[in-house]
Amino acid sequence: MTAMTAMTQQPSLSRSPRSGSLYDVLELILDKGLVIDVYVRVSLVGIELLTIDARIVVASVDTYLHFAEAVNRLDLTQNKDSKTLDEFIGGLSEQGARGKTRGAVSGVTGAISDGVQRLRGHNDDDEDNGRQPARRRPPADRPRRRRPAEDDEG
Amino acid sequence: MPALYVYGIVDVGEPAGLADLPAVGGAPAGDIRTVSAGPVTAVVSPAPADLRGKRRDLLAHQRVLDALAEQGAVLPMRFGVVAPDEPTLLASLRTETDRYRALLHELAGQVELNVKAVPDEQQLIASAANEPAVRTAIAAARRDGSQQRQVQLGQVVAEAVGRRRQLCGTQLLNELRPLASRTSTLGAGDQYALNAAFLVPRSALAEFTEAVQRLRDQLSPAVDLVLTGPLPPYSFVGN
Repeated sequence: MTAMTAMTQQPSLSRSPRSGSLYDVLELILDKGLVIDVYVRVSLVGIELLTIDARIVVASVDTYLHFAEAVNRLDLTQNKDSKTLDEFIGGLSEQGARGKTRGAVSGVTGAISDGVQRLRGHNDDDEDNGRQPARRRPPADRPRRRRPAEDDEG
Repeated sequence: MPALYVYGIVDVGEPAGLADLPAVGGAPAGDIRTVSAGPVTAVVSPAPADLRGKRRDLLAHQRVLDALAEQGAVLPMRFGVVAPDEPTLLASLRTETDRYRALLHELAGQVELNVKAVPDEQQLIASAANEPAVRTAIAAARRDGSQQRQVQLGQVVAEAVGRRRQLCGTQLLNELRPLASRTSTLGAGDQYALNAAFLVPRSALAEFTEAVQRLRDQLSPAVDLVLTGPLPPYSFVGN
């Protein structure tokens, strides 16, 4: 059936939850999906905490100091390593020039030529060991998103 | 009469392939069955007395729904929905038959794809440093090295980083939304520029995937783009 065909044609960038990565679908399973009002939804103590934990963004002095330290390490006269991001965001400003983002974004595009250097080693960790996605190495002062109840497997 | 754990609702009488799947609550196989009320059918298993939502339970829930989604339209239940007994389940299936049928009809032939975009924080900061406000704050912090001034600088940078993350998400959404029949943004929060569910006809799956691949190539390594799916349409069953 067509459904099966589509499944087997999954391209490599796609992560199927079947491969064991609950991480990417956890919030869907816990927060989305149909609920029938008259039913009891089982109280899942650990799970509720888990989803809350994942959404907390700590805005603390430590976080701000982390940002300050990171920006202070930039060599503002060198390098254009944020070009990809700048251009992508800047593309929005051109398309949506009438939008409210205009002011902020034109400032960015105007300053691209100044160039900036990509930060290296904003933590004490060695950051040169590959381009891991940010969420796999959050700064120490931010909460890590815990994996689903792994500790609890039994 | 035992309580029933409910996985989802389908419009076929006897979905195949459920006999071999482990049930939520631990039964290795053979516990999953159907409860039909006319044209709509609930897929259930005996509810465990002490459901705690372990990893294997979440996986069991997801696997059953994957198996159902491969066979046609399914309304996936949120994890942890338990009907007190079979008569109650049947009664609510009958009450909601029209709504469920309409939803199943709407979702037929479509799947959910989840796209998460995580910009590299260092690049966000480097990009933020281009903002005049940030430049000014950096200069001020260099003149006055006090901790208070550093915290102020950090605040300015954090705001600029947040704006950039948001702009990045908006841009990604603008690119992908036209390829989906429905779009639902999920809790953004923390590090995501975009965390969105897209309802995509199976016939357009390849096109959508290629679009994500293109964006991924374009933005690598500044943004980590992860596509998950096809998934049962968790984000499009309303509530």
